[in-house]
Amino acid sequence: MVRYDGLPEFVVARGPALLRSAFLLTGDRHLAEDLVQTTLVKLAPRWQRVSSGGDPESYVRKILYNEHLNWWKRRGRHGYPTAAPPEPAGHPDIADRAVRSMLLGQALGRLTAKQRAMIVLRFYEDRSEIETARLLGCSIGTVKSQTHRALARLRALEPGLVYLLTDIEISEVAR
Amino acid sequence: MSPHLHEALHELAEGAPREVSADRVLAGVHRRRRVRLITVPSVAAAIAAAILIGATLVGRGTEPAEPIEQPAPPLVTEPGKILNPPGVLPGPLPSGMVEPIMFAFLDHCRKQSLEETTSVSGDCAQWRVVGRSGKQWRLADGIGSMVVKPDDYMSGDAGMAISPDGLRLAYYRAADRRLVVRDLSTGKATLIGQRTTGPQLARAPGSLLFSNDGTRLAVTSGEPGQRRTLLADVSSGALTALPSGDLIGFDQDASTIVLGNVWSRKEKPLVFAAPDGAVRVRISLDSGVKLTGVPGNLLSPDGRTLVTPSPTLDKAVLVDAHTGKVTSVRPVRGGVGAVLAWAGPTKYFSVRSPAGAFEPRGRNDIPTEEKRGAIVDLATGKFTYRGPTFKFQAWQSTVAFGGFLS
Repeated sequence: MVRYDGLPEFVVARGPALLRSAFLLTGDRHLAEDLVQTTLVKLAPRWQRVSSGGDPESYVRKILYNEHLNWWKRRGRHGYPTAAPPEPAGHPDIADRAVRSMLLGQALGRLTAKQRAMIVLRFYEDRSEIETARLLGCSIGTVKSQTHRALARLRALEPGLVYLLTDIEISEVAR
Repeated sequence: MSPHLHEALHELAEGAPREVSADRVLAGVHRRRRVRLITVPSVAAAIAAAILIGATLVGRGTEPAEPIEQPAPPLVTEPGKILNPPGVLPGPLPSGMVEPIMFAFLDHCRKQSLEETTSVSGDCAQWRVVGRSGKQWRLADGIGSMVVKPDDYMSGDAGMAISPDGLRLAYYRAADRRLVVRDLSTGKATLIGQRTTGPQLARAPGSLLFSNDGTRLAVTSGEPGQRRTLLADVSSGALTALPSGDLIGFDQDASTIVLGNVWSRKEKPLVFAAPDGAVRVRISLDSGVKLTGVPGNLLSPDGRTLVTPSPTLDKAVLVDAHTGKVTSVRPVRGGVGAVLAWAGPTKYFSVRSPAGAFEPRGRNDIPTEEKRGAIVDLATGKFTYRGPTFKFQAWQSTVAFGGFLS
């Protein structure tokens, strides 16, 4: 058990935060739990080395995001099935927080896995472009271009959410 | 940084589950470790036996066995065994007659990490096809995993399709980047459409789907929501543009084709078209019918019924193709709710993972995939397996099924 010393405490302390990111990535509570479980099981054999390095959070998040991309790939490039609530009747009141969350969740669900990862890392976890690139194992240019595409797609998918995106100032690389 | 989006994402994240069970994680770790403990001694024993046998053979003056990296056509794998053991590649698919093919896969050279799979090339990056008898070949003249930049790796596969009788393969040929349909009963290859450039393939890989009689091939490409489908006559190679949309299905000989937008939650009308592309009729579906993410051929061979999966994949929703109204909802058991094609008047073909979605994991952390075709009887809701279990290891994979009518 010494091998996993400190792992249960880490799971209890950081599990909820991992679940929230996983939920944004998958759009589904059960899939979020599965994603975090798979991530932590993969972390465990390396726990001693990773924890002695002092920053297990970065390592586990790298596994989480890569695992997410891998799932999506293996599932045949289709969006995750979601138990989405029915479409609201008439024009939705975008100011209503519940409706806003619902629309944002639906729009996120229609991005590619990598685009979702960009949105979550850059605008939920507030990671810098450099950090995002390191976590996803890609270049900064890729982060910029994928983020640009993700935001453009969000605007196109749900015009009612545009006001959420108006204050975003990022250096975008149009490819 | 966007305070508005940040705040909205935090609100959305509040819907996440609250906690992770550390006990469950450790149980998962121990389960995985048990698998390794069983595997490692077995492998060590096998290696020791191989060394012993090798030494004995050399001692008798026999030529040592060829290194396992040498391709040997075809590769025959026992049922239930891994199709892509490390260092072993099957030989190329013969150019003449070949038995019906039931399964194809790309394992991206079975690399050890996700990053490594983005730049695979060579023989190991080719499609591998598995016949009804378990023989396996490489599609040596085809494009499989493509060399792509990391930011494009999600689009790094060239598509392929197997006809329901297993006797036709559609794939992109490497020599001229043309889509071809190869008839395995004669060896004849028919060119379909124009030459495709590499960047075109990487940007918008087309999804390919045969009609049930194998005489037509639907080629769908483009961004979600703006997809276009072309219909190919596989005997002549002639292409016909169909109305915009994803292919929802075609009847037995593709004399009726149904198209729609499978990416939209607000379903748009279905379009019924003739093989020449002319629109016959548009119908609206009942509000309860969802086509989001539908991957297969949903129109019955007689053209009268659409079968659609419920969002939870535990029911089959039957829809009158002339009215769009739901006529029946049938429970289906065993995780076979996804419809790939009709396999008879009251049956459809699906694929399930006998060992579950993400377990077990194999050696060296490479995930193990197990897939098996299943025929689902709409009258009873039960399924029966069709063909063997296809098991392979890969960090990233793409698969194709067919031959379920062979």
